[in-house]
Amino acid sequence: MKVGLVGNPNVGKSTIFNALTGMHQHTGNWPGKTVEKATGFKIYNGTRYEFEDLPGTYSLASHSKEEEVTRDFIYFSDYDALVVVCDATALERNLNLVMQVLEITSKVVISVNLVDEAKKKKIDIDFNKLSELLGVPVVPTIARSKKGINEVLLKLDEVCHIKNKPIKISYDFLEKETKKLYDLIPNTHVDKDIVALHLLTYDIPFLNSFDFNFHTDLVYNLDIRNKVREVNNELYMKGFTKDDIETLTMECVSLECEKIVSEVITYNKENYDKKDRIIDKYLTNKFTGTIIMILLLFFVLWITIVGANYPSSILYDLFFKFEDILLKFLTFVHLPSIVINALVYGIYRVLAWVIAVMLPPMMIFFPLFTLLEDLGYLPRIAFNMDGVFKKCDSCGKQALTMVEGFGCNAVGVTGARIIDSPRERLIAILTNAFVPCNGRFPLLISLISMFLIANTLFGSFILTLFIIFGILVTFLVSKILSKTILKGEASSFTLELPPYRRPQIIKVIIRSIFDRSLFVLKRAIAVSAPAGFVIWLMANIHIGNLSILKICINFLNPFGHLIGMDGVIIMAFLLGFPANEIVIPIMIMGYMSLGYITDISNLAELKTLFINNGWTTLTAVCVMLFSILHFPCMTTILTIKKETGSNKWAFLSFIIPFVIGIIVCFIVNLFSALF
Amino acid sequence: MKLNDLKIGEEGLIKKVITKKNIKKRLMDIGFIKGVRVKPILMNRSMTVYKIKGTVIGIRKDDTLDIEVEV
Repeated sequence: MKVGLVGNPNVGKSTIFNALTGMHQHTGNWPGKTVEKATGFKIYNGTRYEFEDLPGTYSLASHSKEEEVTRDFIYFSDYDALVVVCDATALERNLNLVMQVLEITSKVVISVNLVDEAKKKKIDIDFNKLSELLGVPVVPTIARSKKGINEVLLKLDEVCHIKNKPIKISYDFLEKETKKLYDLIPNTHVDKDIVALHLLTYDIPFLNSFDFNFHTDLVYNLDIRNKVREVNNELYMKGFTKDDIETLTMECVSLECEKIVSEVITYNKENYDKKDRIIDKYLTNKFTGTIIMILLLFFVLWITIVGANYPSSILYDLFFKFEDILLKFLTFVHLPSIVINALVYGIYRVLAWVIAVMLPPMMIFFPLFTLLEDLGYLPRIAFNMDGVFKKCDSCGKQALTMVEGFGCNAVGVTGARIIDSPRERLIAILTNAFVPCNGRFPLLISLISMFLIANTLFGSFILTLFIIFGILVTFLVSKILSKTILKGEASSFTLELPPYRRPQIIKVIIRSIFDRSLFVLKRAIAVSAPAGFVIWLMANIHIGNLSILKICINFLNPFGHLIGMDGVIIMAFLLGFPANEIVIPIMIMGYMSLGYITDISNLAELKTLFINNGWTTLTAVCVMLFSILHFPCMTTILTIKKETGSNKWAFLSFIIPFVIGIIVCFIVNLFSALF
Repeated sequence: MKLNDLKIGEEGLIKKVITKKNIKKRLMDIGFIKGVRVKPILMNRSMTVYKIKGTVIGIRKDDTLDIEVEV
């Protein structure tokens, strides 16, 4: 049995999906779109249910790719039943979608979720009455504890075999008119009334999809177009414009939902959301709200850095012990020593390094992020930051992509999907690199410890300052982009502020660890292994008596000095394009003229190495600035290419930060030379 | 009076939804329809957050300039 899951955003639909499918699920993309698709299955009572989790949507009128996907599925796809998930504390608005769905199919089970929250807020719902009024089964559920899930499965079975009579809203003012179009509308499983409505309102996206799915020609057929024009004229004579038709139909639906809710819900507590409103007061207040955001940033950074330290060193040790084993094994198998060299000191080392540096911080940062997300805090951040972003001709949701970018810029880029306006989405994507990802933290923290302040707490504070600088650059560049290559007006969007919910901490942590490990390993193998090989080649192939690496370093030295650094540093950044994590090891390799990357875990030793090669505090500052303001890593660029579908934007996302980084370092260097 | 003139905590009844074409549908999907009660609960420089149909939604002030309400 094929079942689609639909519902408004924030109703706990994914929790229901997880409760229904457990581990038997798989995420991918809808064909041809960058919209995520999750499918899964469950076997219950001998029936195999296949679930498709559709993107959360407020209505079937399509505004975005996500809603288009859901609409097309519901109208045109081949399924057996639908589950519409509703939030018990927001039932009236949720019923809007329910009504739209019921106009299309009667094989629907309503899952009223979050009933425990409703109970806490003393919201009483008569589920039987609701089911009676809607004409379909209604099941109260608490997805996080799997209550009601089995009943949903049973009702799904029922709904497929028993003929339901769902509620039908009559648009009195349109009755006669829509019937006039009946003859011209082809017979499909879609109700003719609905097709007529879309014809009368010239809903081209819907009609195109209809034509595509049923091989009809509603959009261009002259007979239909003429008849539609005729009917619309008649309606116009009666005082209804096309706009009016849409508005009036929505008013009918809204009125009906209000009526149903008044019969079914009792609010026993006047100010049931008092707590949420008080919390909001503090979190969105210009003064306390901003302080809390900065403190949270600092706190998350600090925990990520401190918490990742120990696991990282354990991983280092493990990997190096394994390196010896690998070496012995490969020697034992009599591989030529040059191959062993390349494999172990080139590929394996870089691979091991990236994993050891990248994995622990991500295990800490992303669970923290997901916890904040589940709590419901993130939209409040978007609200707080919207004012600033509006000044940059962008929108508050960009703040959320930046927060994700702290963990990993590639994730920040994918996260830009929450921004509806394509122009603003691009701005968020192009500027995401100005927020340093987890991979850049070790470089930044090491340099701060060595050249600025050794204490971890104060070091984190200085890091926060650098990051705030990166954020300011983001604002500036966003504004510049809006005035130049990404011209446009400020967009319109709606931001839902969900009620605060207690996150399921253990589940979040486990799920995050599972997802992130996979991501890290995939990236390490796909990107770092080849990078390791290339680096090894450059450091070990000699032209004359210099390695290719050394030649490049010498060539870049003058340029490097111009911007406060040197050839080794520039090469380290360039070769660190696949993975920011290896920048310092490459620097060490460069300075020590080694044929392989290595680490100096003693910061005092490392500092001596740097100072012996001409570093000053200014150099450290330029390196840190460049780290914040340089091109994003290869994975991010590839992600940008995928998300935008264009090489042009991928290229720009590389060049823009790179050029800005060069300019800023040049200015800082110039400045300090003058004083 | 206009929606943007409502003060925080002041409830209004929507009379007419006039706004830019592309946001009108979205606003109506969220619940901004004639006859619906709406109340601003938070406000900042660019956005106002409303309580509507049991949900809490933030919208840019620029997008609600011409929506008419009565108290």
